[in-house]
Amino acid sequence: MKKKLLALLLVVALVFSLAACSGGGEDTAPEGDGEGEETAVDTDNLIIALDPDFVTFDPGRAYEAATNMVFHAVYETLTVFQDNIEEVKPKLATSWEISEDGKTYTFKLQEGVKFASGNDLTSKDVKWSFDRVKNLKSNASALAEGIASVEAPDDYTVVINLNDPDPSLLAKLATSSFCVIDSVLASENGAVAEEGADQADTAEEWFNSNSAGSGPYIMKSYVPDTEVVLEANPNYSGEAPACKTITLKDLPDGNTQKMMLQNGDIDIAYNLNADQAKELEGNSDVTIKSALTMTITNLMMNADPEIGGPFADKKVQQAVRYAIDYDGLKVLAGEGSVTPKGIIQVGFLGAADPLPEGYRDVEKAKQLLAEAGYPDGFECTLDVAEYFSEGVSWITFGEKIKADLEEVGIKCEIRTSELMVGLEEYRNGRQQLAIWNWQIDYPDPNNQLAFLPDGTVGGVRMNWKKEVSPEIYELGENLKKTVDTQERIDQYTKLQDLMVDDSPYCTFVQSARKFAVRSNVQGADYIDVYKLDLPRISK
Amino acid sequence: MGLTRYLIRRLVFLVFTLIGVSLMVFILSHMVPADPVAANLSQANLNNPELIAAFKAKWGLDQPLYVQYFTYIKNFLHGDMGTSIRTKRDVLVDLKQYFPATIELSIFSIIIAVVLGILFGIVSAIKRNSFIDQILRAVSVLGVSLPQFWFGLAMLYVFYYKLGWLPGPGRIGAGFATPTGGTGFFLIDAMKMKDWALFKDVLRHLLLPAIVLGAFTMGLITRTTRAGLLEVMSMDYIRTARAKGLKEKAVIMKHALGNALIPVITVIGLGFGNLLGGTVVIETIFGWPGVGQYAYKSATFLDFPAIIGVSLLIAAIYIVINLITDLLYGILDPRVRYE
Repeated sequence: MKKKLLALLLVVALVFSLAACSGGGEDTAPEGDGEGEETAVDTDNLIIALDPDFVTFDPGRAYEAATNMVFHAVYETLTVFQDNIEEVKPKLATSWEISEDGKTYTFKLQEGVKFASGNDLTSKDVKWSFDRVKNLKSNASALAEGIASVEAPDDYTVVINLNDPDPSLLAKLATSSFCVIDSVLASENGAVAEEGADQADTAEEWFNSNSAGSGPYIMKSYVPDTEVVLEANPNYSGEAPACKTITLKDLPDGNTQKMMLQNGDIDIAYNLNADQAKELEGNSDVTIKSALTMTITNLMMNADPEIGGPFADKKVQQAVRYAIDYDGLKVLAGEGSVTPKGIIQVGFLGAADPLPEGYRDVEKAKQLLAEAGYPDGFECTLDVAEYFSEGVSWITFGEKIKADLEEVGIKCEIRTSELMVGLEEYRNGRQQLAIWNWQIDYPDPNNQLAFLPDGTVGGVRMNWKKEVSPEIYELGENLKKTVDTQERIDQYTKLQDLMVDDSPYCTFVQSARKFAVRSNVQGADYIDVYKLDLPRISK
Repeated sequence: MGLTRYLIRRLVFLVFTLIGVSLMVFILSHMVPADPVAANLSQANLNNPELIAAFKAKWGLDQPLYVQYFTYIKNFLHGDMGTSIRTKRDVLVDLKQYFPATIELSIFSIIIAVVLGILFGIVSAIKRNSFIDQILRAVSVLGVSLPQFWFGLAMLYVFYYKLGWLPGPGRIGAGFATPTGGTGFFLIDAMKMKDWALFKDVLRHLLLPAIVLGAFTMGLITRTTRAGLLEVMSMDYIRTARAKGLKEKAVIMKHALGNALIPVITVIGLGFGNLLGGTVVIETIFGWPGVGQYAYKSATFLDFPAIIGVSLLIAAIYIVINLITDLLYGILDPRVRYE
């Protein structure tokens, strides 16, 4: 009896599953009824596949690269970058004046701008947004640290008072940390701007499914690890964007993105490595894009003799810079990558020309090592975390560097680690020799001053102290205050020259990013601060 | 009577196992030489002791480990699994979002694996050493040994990119909005909404990842069924059945299969558990927003509440499946007694 019952159950299960199966089978049969055809003629809806690092969509809290893409479409800022990050342009602020001492900035706001909610955008909202980002004490707050106070003397004037002059303020204001938020709407949903906001503000969850901006789009929905949907903002005061909706689909795998792009199911495949991009060559439906990013990857040498050993010696540091085969590493990083002259990225104000081909000089490196007292080289540990610079594994770089250094007598043992494990050692300054990359926080070369002696990278991670290199330290302190453009360029030029001989870094590559778009997609150009300038894309 | 007592004992055992799992995950994840502060604060803020202290205080990381653990257990007993450091949402809310995607895929996948596996196993055993047996045995070996990431991409390449028979990654096509049925199981939601076009679309999206995910279990089931059936077929009672003049089909379906399937039940149970826990690769390739991706991302952010939440859930499901497997054993094999 029991057996019969079981047999019956089994049969039911089988029948059910067969039905499900054959149902699937039938459905698969008709060709051409896929979504591909619909999207091919669709010019209103743009679909982008990417591997995003979204954590939060609260502008006062977010600090992730891909989030900038969304914020730039949904919110507006006082200043903006367009096409490149060399020159900052007016956006919500139509003009500004800087006081003699460089500590007070007075902005005139564009009149008649409305938020998506219909509320007017005034100086009150600007002050509220900037106060909030400062008081939330979040990751985004770091950029607001130098701001002493923000005033709103009338509806369309904003005054920012700084603790010290900051030549990078206008560039910082163009980043998503300084998005201007609809203060009325956000306050209704738990947002607080005053001191104590870090405890009192409860708006993050609301921001994760709503937006409160004045940009060309509004955020319609966000499903974590699935997609973000943006919809054109009907109250936008500027020219309406070309696409009515933009969907950012979470698809971590580059190969999958590539296939979907080829089939026309997505319009942009944002995460392709060099090989995947190459495989798309010759496909007339697809255009491959390559852009120089501001991501630099460095070989970092610890300047503390206790930890760095021989690497704390300036001559050894020089020798390493001559020993590395930059041309070979550039090939590994993919077409379009360059070798910057030190820590200032190509594309920044005052950046030197990239290093020429054939810069490597093995003999000179050996000679320097001998002068430093290591004619036969030495042994060391190279720490490499399991991570990537624009799709290229650091381990790939590490193996090449190991081989290069071995040619001059430095024998490395590569020690790989999980990213977070490595990061812990790195940030406590415990690694002898390591590979790490650096992405910019804001588009101004002053961002790079962290690498100088006593800086948050140079001092803390690499133990490079100002007593060891006082001239470079002083130059950095000066650069933090210098506002005049020509003076800045001169000082940056000098800094890069000095660091050729004296610095615990070997910046071996500034990576290019590869992505691909359907050939009918226009305006999908990379700009480091926003990644893709979404409102300008059409199809 | 025995069965009830057995069940109670097993359920008590479940509670203790979960306590053990939570303790182990807690200790292990805090032993990792990495710091959640570094994983969640930006580089600039990592030099600001005030912000680091605020972060630790907010997430209770400034407390001794045992205090953290007991706080967690206390909250858990009140139905609060904590807030995810990464997503800032209740872990329970997160699990409700991610788990149905994985369960739906796993169930669909196990169905395919069981149906094909048993079918292939029977055919293989009946046609022992024939050409078709060789083919099926090769298929089962491939199923067991193909690396999932490769198989997944190859299947996508053939059926999605080259032939265009099946849709690409994701749970639903671009033309459909996320179903509003509320269960998170898209097939059920679509049925509730009586949206048959959506139902069909969901089914089609399930097929490829389910086949890839189920290939391993399918291979195992084929081999186990074949071996089991061959062993049973050589037994005396089968000879008796044949001697009675029963048709071969009746002999196999009525007499042999039931006994041959006993070991298969274990394979299915374990296979299902593996499917649930081992979907990270498939979910990445197929853009499937499931618990595998959630677990992976939580781990990279050292998001303790999320890591423990996922571990407990998977552990609980493993145990329940094991229990069901054991119960089925008893039904299939009357010799098994619950003691």
